[in-house]
Amino acid sequence: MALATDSPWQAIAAAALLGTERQPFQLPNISGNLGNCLSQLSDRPNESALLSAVGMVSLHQRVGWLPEARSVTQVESCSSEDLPRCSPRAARYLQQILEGQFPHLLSEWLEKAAISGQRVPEILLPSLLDKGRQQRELRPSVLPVLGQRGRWLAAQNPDWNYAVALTTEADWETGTPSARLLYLQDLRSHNPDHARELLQSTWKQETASDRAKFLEACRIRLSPVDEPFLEATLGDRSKEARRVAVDLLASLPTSRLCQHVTEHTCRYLSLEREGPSLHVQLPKHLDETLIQLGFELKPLSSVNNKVGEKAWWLLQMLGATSPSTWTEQSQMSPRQIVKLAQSHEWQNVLLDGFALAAKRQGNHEWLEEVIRVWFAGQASINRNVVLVDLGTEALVNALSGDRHDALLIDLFQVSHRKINDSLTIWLLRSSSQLWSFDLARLVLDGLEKHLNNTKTFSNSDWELRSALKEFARFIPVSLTSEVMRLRERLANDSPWVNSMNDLIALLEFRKDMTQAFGVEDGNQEIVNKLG
Amino acid sequence: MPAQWTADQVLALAPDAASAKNGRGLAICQKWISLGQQQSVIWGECQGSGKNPYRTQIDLREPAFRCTCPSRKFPCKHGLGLFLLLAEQPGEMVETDPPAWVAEWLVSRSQRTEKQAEKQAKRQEQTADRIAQAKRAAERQRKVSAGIQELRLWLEDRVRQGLATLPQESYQMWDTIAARMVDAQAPGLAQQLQELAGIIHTGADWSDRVLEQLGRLYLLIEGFEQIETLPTAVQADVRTQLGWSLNQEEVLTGQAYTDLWLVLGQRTEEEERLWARRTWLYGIATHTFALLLDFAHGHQPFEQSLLSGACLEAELVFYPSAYPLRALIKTRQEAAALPKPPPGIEAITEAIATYSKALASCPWLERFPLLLQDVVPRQEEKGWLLQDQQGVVLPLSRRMEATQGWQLLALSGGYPLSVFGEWDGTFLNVLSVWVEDSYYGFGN
Repeated sequence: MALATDSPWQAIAAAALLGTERQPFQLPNISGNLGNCLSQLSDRPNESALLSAVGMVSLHQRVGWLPEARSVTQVESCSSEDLPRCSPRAARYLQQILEGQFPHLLSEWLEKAAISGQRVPEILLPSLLDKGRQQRELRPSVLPVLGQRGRWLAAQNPDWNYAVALTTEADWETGTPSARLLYLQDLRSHNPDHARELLQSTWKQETASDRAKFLEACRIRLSPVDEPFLEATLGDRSKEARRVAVDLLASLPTSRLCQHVTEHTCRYLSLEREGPSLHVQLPKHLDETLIQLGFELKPLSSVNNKVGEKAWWLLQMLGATSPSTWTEQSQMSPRQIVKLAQSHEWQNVLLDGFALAAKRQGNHEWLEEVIRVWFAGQASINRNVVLVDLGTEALVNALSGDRHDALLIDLFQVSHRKINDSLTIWLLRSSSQLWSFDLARLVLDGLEKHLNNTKTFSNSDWELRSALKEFARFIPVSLTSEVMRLRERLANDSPWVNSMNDLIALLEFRKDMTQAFGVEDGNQEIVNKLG
Repeated sequence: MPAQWTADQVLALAPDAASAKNGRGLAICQKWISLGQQQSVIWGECQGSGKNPYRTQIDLREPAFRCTCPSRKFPCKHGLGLFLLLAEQPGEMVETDPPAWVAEWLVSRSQRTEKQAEKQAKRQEQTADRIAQAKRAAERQRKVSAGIQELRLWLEDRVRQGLATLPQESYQMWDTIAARMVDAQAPGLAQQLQELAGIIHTGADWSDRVLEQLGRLYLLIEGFEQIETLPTAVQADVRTQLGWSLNQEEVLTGQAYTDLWLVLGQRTEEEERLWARRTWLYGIATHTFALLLDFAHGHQPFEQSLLSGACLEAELVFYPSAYPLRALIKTRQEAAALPKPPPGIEAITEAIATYSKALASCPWLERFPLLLQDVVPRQEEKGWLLQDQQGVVLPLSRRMEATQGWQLLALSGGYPLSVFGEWDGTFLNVLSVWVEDSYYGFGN
């Protein structure tokens, strides 16, 4: 508590610190009731008077303490119009997830709440906003369920500024960088042209790192209309922004950049249907026009040791050349070409180049071929890549959910991969959405065959065991009863009983969670599809 | 039965976070082979890892739990799961005659209550042995007086030498004098001395806080030396501070107050496996606050189940004091939920005035119950505040978890809410919040 410098308390405290043997204690001379009480101590020995005075004065201060009226920065109250709060049961599931039980189900909960048009109850907002701060990828699904209250709250904590809504475009210039980015991404998804124009209007005043981030948002619904703007940014001062621009232009097969690069690439790669054969000639120098288009002379530091300069130039060219160029030119199928590439001495450069172009341009056929060729002979997912961001995982993730499922169904039906095969487990785990019923049934069949035949655990069984829990996230909840029957058919002493019980617990949690949003059983599949 | 239990109230009974989590996992109908209810008793059979299902039962009147599982937690996850199921899906409990295993338990419970009543009557007879009692009291008075005399000299020595050197003293100095007070049968003094030793290394203003505590101790010494001249209630406060408390049987002979008591809030603290729980009650008709203290060792359950936000009809007896707060439950009836927040004080100045008045009656009050209404949480650089409609502010405890401050703000949305907390003279420690008719426990 604040005390005036000449208060009786300070005088007494100073005397107590010093000690009465150094300086005899003098009662502070004050008037009023306290003074009267203190004066009764005057006959006492020094120490007794001092301690009694301490007791009296401190009690006097405590009793007399008054709270102060103060102007505290007032925040405008939250608008009262809001989405309906989710049911207490749904809230309970969210709380469990936030407290660490089944943390992977958070995005599913958020999606379900968003579909039902409900919001998170107030008391859970701080933990949810914190989760969104830690996990950037969750943010887009956190926003729709915050309600007015959540956005109001987020506006008061700088840690949560990603969730502060830019409600109107007028805020575009004043919002925080992360809120602006989310606004831009959102606008881009329903009005891409307008989003681009908005970005263009403030482009010059943005910082270098914001320019790169904002430009990255143009990947959403990228189209040839964006080309002039992207071309203009090729000359940007920020290297990072230039890289994004090249990447985006290379993702547009009809762009001037792609057309120009394709001409060059054809000089160095030729395909013969007869034979068949694939010839590579490394470029002797990097054409000046390509340098102007943003090609890099020196390999990125991350690829430095794997390829030389010339191979690096070729890789960049391949990455900006539409893969269909090669099928059209040679009349060969993507599979034939990828096979040829695989046995070539420049295998890494060719496969990475094809994969990069396919990934950029969303060419699933080529993506799948690169993945399949790799999977055909391998048990490991670690492709020997030149570019770190072109690992098998990145390629698989670039597939749409349906193609991902199709690839897996192929693995089971055509390649006869087993359920406890590392690669299969890995692919199943890397799913980004619910499995289709077909895939889920294949997995259950595979499990049934395998689990009933396990006598002792092999290494791959341990891997499968730890993956089972994750599988529960992808199985449509309407198959719960089939999973339960599978468990019932297990022998009592099967080493899989506990893992299957865990899997079922998670499935049931998901099922109950779905019901907590008021979704009837009959509609569950609709929700599954939406999810 | 009118009681509508909420899941929050149930979860507040969980002995730890893991039990709460596991209990929630069991609050699913599919986990239960059978479920039943008869009036205020519910039961269920839950298949666990063992051969036979666990049999779980709850007497909602208290609530009291029983389960056949081997867990040493109390209540166990099955008890919590069953209770949560009742709170969330009351329709699942089928009203039916209890099976034998439930009926047996009910009979044994009513027998136990009778036995306890007998035992209590017996103990009261024993304490009625006035001659022996007076002799024991005189002996203790002698010991405590000697201890008090020793402490007085020790304190005077400290200020003679000056407090500036205290940070250089070892803890042993404090331990030694504290041990002497234990020997003198004044454990309350020993505890205060040990707390004092802890203050010295807690920041720049340690000397002011140490000095205040020394002053309070000295006041206590002076009070004890003139104890005969003090009013009886103040005598009781002095004895309580010394750690010379009445035993429960003696307290229970005092006047009982019957009321509908609202459980305002709870806080459980652990020190060396001893769990101490403070439960604050508010009498709806008498407008009185009461504090219940419960202790439990290790995994042992607290004897009383008290659900925050719920009401219980009970007879309470207060420990004698110039400002009675601490109380014991003499008898209790069924618990029931109260749908509305209790009436609080709107002006912080007025609330603090009640504190000042209480402090003037009992200068040793450590925590004072404040029930505020229409206050808005605000954030300042230094921490969280509550502000009333006149703009008067009260600082919230610095030890409050950061999330709790934000939760408070989230619940408020900038609008006023009702808050209950413990005021220690400097900070308010928030224990519960009401928004409209919903109760939120902040105690643990």
